[in-house]
Amino acid sequence: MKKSLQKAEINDKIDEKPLVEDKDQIIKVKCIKHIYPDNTEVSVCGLDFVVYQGERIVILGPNGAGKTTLLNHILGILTPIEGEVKVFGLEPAKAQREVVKNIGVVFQNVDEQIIGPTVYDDIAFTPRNYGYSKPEVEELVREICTNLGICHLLKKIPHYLSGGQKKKVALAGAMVLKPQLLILDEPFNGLDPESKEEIIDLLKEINNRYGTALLMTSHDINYLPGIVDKAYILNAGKILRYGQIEDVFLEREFLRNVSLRPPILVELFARLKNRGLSVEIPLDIDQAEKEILNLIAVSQKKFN
Amino acid sequence: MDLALIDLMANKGDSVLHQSSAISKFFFVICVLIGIILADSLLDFLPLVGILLVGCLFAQISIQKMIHYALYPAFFSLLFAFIRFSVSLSAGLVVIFKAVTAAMALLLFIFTTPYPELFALINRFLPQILVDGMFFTYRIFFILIAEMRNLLTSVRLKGGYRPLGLLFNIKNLAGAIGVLFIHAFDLSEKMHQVLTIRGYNGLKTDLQTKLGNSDYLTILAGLTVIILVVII
Amino acid sequence: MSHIHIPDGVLPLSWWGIGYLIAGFFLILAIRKLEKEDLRKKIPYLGVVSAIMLITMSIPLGIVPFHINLTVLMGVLSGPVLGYIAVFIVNLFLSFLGHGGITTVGLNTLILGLEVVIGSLMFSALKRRIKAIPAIAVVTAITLIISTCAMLGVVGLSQSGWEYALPHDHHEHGAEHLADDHSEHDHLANSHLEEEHLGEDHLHSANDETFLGLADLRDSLSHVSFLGMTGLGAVLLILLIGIGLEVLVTILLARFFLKVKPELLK
Repeated sequence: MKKSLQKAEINDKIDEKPLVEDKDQIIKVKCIKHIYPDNTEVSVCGLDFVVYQGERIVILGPNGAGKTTLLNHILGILTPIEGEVKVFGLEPAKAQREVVKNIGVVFQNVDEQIIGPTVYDDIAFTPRNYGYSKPEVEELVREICTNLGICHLLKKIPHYLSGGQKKKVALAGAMVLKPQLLILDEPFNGLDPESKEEIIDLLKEINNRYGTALLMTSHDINYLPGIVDKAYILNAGKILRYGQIEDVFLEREFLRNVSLRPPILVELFARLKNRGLSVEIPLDIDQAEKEILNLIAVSQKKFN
Repeated sequence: MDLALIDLMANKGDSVLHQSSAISKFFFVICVLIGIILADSLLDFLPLVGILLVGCLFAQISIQKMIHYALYPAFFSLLFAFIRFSVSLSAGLVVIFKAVTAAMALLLFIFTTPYPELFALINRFLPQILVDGMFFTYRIFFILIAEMRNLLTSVRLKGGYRPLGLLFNIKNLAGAIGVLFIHAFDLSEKMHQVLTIRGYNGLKTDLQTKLGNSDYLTILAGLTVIILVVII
Repeated sequence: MSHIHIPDGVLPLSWWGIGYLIAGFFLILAIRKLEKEDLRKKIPYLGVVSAIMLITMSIPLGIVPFHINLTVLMGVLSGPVLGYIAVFIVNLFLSFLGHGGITTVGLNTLILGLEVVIGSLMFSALKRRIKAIPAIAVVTAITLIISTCAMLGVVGLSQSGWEYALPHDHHEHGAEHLADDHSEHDHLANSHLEEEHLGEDHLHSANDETFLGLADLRDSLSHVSFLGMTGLGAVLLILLIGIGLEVLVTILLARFFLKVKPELLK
């Protein structure tokens, strides 16, 4: 899984590598352009944007890079006047109902998306809309609330929940029909560290259990290595990079140029490596601990 | 107008009235309203006010709070009472009492009924669009009131509020309301997207129709009101 | 406070009943019209419009007991159809909170609905001829004056017809009233007695109904304006100040929109 792409290949991929049509491929976006009613033109070009079944992908980019535009095209909220958007082989702007039925979405501000009068009603909202019978709806809600550990909240009123609880409810509402794709816009925004970790665990669980592909945007770069495998980097309406997250994070200079920063551990160990220390760049704290203990052991051996 | 406070009391309360279903409480309110329509002397209000105050005790609502809310209808009915005072003092007072007791009955209902039940009940009488509209009003009210509170706080913190400066306040308030408007319309656009993605075609909730002991008590109280008013 | 939320119990059944019927008729028309549009877009918009009306009503302006409504502005922004439905929702909510009666939701909706409907129709007629700010100021002022007149009309007319609209008022408890009145207001009680008599006639002979009804109405109206002069004068002054404040806030908000999001006023 961690097979890294060659850097040269990443850089040269622009406009070059044709997409192989694949039955596992669930999203394909090719240089799209949209014009808003006030004549502002927004495009997302550069590399093709492709997502396969069960993948865990983050879209990184500074504010205003075009992340939301891209997501809105995938959801069929925007209609491209140029380029191609295919989700599950369909054009979302034309077949929005079929497409969104298979996508769960958690927006950045959960208050805007929790609609039901009670938590139960909110989770049941989507299956009810798609005409599931009462016992079926109950079964679906029961299943997802058990898996996310929020059954004790079912009778609660949404506006009395904490931020972390609201996020989980939104997640349950998005996942209740077990869609193939889950889109999360800044899922960690405004959450305390513990809630962030809980959400990460839930997302992993969802990905494992249902094989749901995760597609998220996030600025919480330090939390990402634990939950995503691959990253797309967008800047000023162009998809500039695509690759395994550890490879993308190593390009510190490039990241700085597009107003991004690598995770703090990556930055620290990259600097140590530049100083000539023989370390591997870690992505999580356990790995980092091992590296440091290794270094200490080696230097102690030398000293002795 | 403390919708937020009322909502909190309705949802966190656990009295006999909280436990009875929305249907029986609604029946009670209708009975009180019929009583009010029938009532035309001060004496008639004895059972009405009595039973409403007992209701407050049962619902664990402080009488003080109830009186505070009842001041609005009392104030608004004054205009009508003025005209009736020309007939007699008691005729004027009857007008005020009618307004106040009706408001008390509705407040008692709203203080003890969580809003999902309330909307499920209303759903039986009004078209779906209206009920959904009311529900969205309710949700959005809570989102926007939190924002308005923050906006007003920052207006105050920046010295934009003077107790005596009406025009000064209005100018700054207009700015805050303007910001609120813009955010509100963005919110509506966002919710439009959410509804599209989640496949909205009408909200559905389940209304509990099984009646329990507390319901019979509420219904009995309602009937008692009418009987007493008619007898008196 | 450019209008008064009419509470329960002050209007006779015929008034609020008819109020409900007329308001309900327009409500059904409005809903039919709204149903044809994209509800996924319109329902949240409806929620936003009504929620804003509720919120602006709860903002304190300082020591004065006024609150703003912004119904005319909301009408201009949301159009007459959606605005009218929003007004109904707002009135229903307010009645739950004791702010205006549940029986008078119909009448209150008609009066507030006037502001929304007239406001939005007048603005769309005016905006092509004059600039947005003066247009909205003029529209708000005229609309509020019209709705205030409508409200006072309802109050005045309903009160003058009061004695004859509720039959039981005369039959069962007439004597009681009289007993009360005799001690304090002798002359009033006499006139009351006459009215009482007329009222019974009015009930029994359907043929004379129109004639007697009109005569009583004229009589009672002069009665009201004479005795209620000071009360009504004060109310009028309060209403005028309320209208002035509301126009001011509306102008300020319109200026804000022109700067930030001019398409809102188009």
